[in-house]
Amino acid sequence: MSIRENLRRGRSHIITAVVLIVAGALVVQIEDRNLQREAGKPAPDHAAPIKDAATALDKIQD
Amino acid sequence: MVRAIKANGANVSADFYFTKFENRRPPAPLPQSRSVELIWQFLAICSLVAGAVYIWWRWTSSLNMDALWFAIPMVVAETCAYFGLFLFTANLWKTRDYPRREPPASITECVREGEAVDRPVSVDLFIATYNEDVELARLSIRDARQVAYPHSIDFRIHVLDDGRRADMQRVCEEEGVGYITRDNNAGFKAGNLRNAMERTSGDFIVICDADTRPFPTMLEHTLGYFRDPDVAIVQTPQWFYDIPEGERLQDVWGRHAGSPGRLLGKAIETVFGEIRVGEDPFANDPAMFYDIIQRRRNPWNAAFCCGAGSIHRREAVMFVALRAYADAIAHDPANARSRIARLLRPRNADEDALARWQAAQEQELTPYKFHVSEDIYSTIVLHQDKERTWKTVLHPQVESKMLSPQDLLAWTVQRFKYAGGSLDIFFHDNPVTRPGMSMAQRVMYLTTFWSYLGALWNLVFLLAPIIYMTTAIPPVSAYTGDFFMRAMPFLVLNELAFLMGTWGLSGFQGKVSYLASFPISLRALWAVVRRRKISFPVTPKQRQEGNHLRLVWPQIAIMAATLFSFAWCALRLFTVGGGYSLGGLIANGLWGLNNILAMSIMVRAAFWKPEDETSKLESVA
Repeated sequence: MSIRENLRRGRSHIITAVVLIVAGALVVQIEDRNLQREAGKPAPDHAAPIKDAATALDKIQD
Repeated sequence: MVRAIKANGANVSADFYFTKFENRRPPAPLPQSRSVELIWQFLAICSLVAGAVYIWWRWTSSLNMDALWFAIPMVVAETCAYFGLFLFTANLWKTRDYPRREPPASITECVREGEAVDRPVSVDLFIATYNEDVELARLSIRDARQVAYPHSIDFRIHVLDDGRRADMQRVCEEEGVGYITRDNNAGFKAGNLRNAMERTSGDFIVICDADTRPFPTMLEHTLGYFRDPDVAIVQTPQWFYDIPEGERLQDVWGRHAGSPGRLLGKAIETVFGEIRVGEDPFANDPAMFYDIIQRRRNPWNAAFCCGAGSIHRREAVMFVALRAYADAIAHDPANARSRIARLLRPRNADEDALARWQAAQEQELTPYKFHVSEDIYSTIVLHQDKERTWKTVLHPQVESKMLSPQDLLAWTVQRFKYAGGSLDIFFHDNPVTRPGMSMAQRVMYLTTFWSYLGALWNLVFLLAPIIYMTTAIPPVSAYTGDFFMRAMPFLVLNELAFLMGTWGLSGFQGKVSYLASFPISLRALWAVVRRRKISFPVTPKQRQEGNHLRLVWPQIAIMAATLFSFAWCALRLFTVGGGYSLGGLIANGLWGLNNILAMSIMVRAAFWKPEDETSKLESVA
């Protein structure tokens, strides 16, 4: 069986992965922009560890 | 085999719906590739690590403390699903088939030294039936008669008729095979098999249902495994040769929308590969189960018997009976125990399995557990034996063909039996915690049982986007970016891992039917928890007419609630805000869309009709 045929059979995995990546990037972009607008400062660095996300969110909302 | 059917079958069963599929050939087993396996294992580990990071973060840093009623069930569901993923990864870890060996010429090649005298092997092929069309059974008998063997063999075919039908007896006489019946239906199929075992004496037993049509190579390809005297059961993959193939997308759209439709369909198929509309509407194709799940239990000696298409060593089956009987009277007086001990102890050279079986007949024995899942239950008893390491083998090549459930009712009955039977064992005689099995075997059985419990967390996953889009309450309290930073690597790696782990097979149908069949598993779970007996209805082999919508009302309810909540969320977001966010709407909308697509497969199955019936309706219209 060719690689192409195997990929065809497994396409649901590939499509799901692509949708996840595209949708995730889109949602993060939208939410960061909203946060920035509401808080009046740049969006947080998501790679940095957060000790208490709920508290951080409350602070932003305050 | 097909020639035999054509030659002999012209006067019978010409109008069976499956006659047109007679020329179909089963797919070859998936080829083994060490490089693909290594990539799968690498990605699987990466996925599990990413998943562990995500689950840890969910418990420690992202629970919505203001809505614990929602946050806790959600995180518990995620954790249970992650544990299920861990088990499933272990199940799929590697493929190592048992080595194929030459078919034995003498029974002495299949037993320990001195346990039998030199003679050809003897095999009984049982065709268990209850109310199936006698002409359907005739096809199976004729195919069974074509089974060949390269050595001299004592091969006998018996129809086990629990319907006590004169027609069935007449067919057996016409075809020159044995007819076995009894005056009651105690134990249903298991009781039927027990009755037949009491009247036969073959070294090996082939289990077939009324629609199981063995290929001529079945014995030649499988009896060699029994050269290992510890091999108790060889299961061959079940293959449904009547699964609808569907129609190419470009043809369907071309029929409905002319050239533009055909061109669009063709363009889509060029990008995504061939798409068939209406293919396998009930997700019946068992290839994933046999070629991936069961086959990859071979390295751990944990493949289990699934009934039709399996070959059993009579001695091993008898062992199950004796062990179960011994357990049952374990608390009885000493004289009863000693009687059992005499039956179980090793024999002298001149006494073979048959002698032990005859001795056992004097007792009230049940070779196959009188249980709705007698196949897996009997395998469990074998695997639990501490005194002898019985082995079970999944032979990767298809050696018979059979019919699939042709309507949603038959499909539901079958799935309910699987789920109810497995959960009943899990709750009332759990092999995972009882002594006897190796750790790997326990993990494999736990994987099976855990998958049936999955309906509980799948229900949470189905309801979660509805709850958010209706109430604006998220179960997660974190920045969106933080959430996706941890969830995305896990989810994407998981998809890529299983792309490689199931390389060569499509797992989509199985995945969505697993999600969409949650009501069946929940009903089975509810019945088992209340200690209700899971009944033994025979899975209908003929298509049942009627409306099956009543079977899918939970799926329709989920679809409707998801659509309603999405509309509500969008309306609130774009009017008053209502605490919603666009990101939340998109993320939960896509999640809900995934759920709707999964549910829709089951709802479409309720409306499915064979191509012939659809054509008739269209021509009438």
